[in-house]
Amino acid sequence: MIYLRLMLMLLTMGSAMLAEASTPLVVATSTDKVNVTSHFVGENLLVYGAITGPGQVIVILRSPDSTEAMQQKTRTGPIWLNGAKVTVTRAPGIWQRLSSAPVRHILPDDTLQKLGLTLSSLVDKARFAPEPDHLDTWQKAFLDEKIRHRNYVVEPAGVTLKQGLFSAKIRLPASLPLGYYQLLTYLVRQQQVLAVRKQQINVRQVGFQAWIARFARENSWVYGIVLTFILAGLGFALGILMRRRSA
Amino acid sequence: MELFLPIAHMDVNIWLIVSFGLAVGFLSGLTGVGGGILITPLLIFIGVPPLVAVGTGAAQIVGGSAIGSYAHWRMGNVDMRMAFVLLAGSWTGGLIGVHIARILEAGGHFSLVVTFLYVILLSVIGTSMLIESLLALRGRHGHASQKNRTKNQSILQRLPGQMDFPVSGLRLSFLTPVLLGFGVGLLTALMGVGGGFVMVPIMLYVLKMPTKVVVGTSLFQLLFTTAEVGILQAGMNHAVDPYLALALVLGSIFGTQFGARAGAYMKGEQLRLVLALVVVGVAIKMGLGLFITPEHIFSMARVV
Repeated sequence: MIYLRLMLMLLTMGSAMLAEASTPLVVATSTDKVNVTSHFVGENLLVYGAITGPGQVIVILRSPDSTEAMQQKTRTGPIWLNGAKVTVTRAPGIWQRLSSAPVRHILPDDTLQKLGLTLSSLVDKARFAPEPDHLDTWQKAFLDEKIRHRNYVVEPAGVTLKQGLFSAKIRLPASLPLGYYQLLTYLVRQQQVLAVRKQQINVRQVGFQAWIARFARENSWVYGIVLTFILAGLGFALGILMRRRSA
Repeated sequence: MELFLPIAHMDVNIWLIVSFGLAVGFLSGLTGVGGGILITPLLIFIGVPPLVAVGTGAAQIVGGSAIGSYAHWRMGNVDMRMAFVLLAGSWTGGLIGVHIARILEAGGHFSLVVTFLYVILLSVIGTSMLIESLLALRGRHGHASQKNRTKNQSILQRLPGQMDFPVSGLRLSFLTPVLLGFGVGLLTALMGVGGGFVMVPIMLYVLKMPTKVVVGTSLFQLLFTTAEVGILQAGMNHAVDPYLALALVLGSIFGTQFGARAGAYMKGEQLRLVLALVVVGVAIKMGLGLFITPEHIFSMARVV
């Protein structure tokens, strides 16, 4: 399936590539929009393209920053209680790095840090408020939780590279922060970034689901009153119906 | 059918929620004991944030009690004066309770407080139901001692603000029902329950209202208390999930009807025993959660 798509893509892209043979990196995605409906249970995003000459490919998907509430459980006597609460901002909600080889093998550490291609660079930029006593413990826990929920994903063999063609399948989880996601594709050769392509993926809520979620948040009082009347009406109508049937 | 819950922020199979409503409705239709105390723990068990479980739990009772309240009102089983005095207390209690919930949630303590409250409440209710049904199965009936009741009555009669309640044929201080309502309102806001299990015994044994009026009046005030708390939880705390609430109402209405019909063919005492065991079981499961070392010391939830 993937290769069929690749062939199609190559056919359509072929002319453009011939016209601009000097382009070392061409990237396309299966879609530039992700529609989150009430039935949304995640989606696969396909990134594919071609490179000219030898090299390795790194694909980064980064969502807008999200705010996370972290809490630590502490033991008091025999009982586990909720301890300190810290709010983490300035870190992407979703971050995925797929590459055709482990990134440390293909780029020097300082370049990785500078380009923000590592998990540690993400957590270094994140802000923890109020700043906890053992910041490093919280930073590590933050990454662990993000990885556990598959919000942060690192796949050192996630990009398949074959005869100048590459493809990567990014699995988007069901619960996504909304907004414009940045998709960055790097072509790396001899420990250097040779080319970068930038794309945007628009993750948006659509349909009734989006309307309800927005309405409940922005007009929470009206929402509460209307929903309560609907619930009472539903209960009343069903009750009458059941009574009629049993009578 | 997998559905993403917009307020609870999670995926859930909506038929599972409908079946929760069915099961709990069935139990309450069968035994006549309100099943609201089981809905919120079940929601928490499947991972709904506790505040949303509590808010949605209260809101879904509105749907579950609408038809019953109407029926009792039509039959003249509601002591309106009593209901409004109770509501004065319960609406105040609900308002304060929702504020307390908000403060606890901001400090990150709400889930712990809810767990504690449920462990205490479910243990007490479960144990007393267990004892009651075991005694009933043996053919004995527990009666509160007459002496104790007369003593309570004399204290109540000395309170200021005596008021006539003609429908119930009582004269007592308005402070008693206001306080009772206040407590029930707090419970509704903090635990997402209707509070019938507290209100009905107190109306029967402390206020000495006639049985017929007790059921109608408590159901009537419960409808309006849960409606108030549901609106406040949605408006103030964003804690009422529409799909969860609708699915629960749908399930519990049908469940209650099936339960009521099935109840005609089964023995009440044995059914109460089953319900008591379920309640104790849920209390133990919640209680153990406090002592078992959590799998993950740190937890994280996306705020925006």
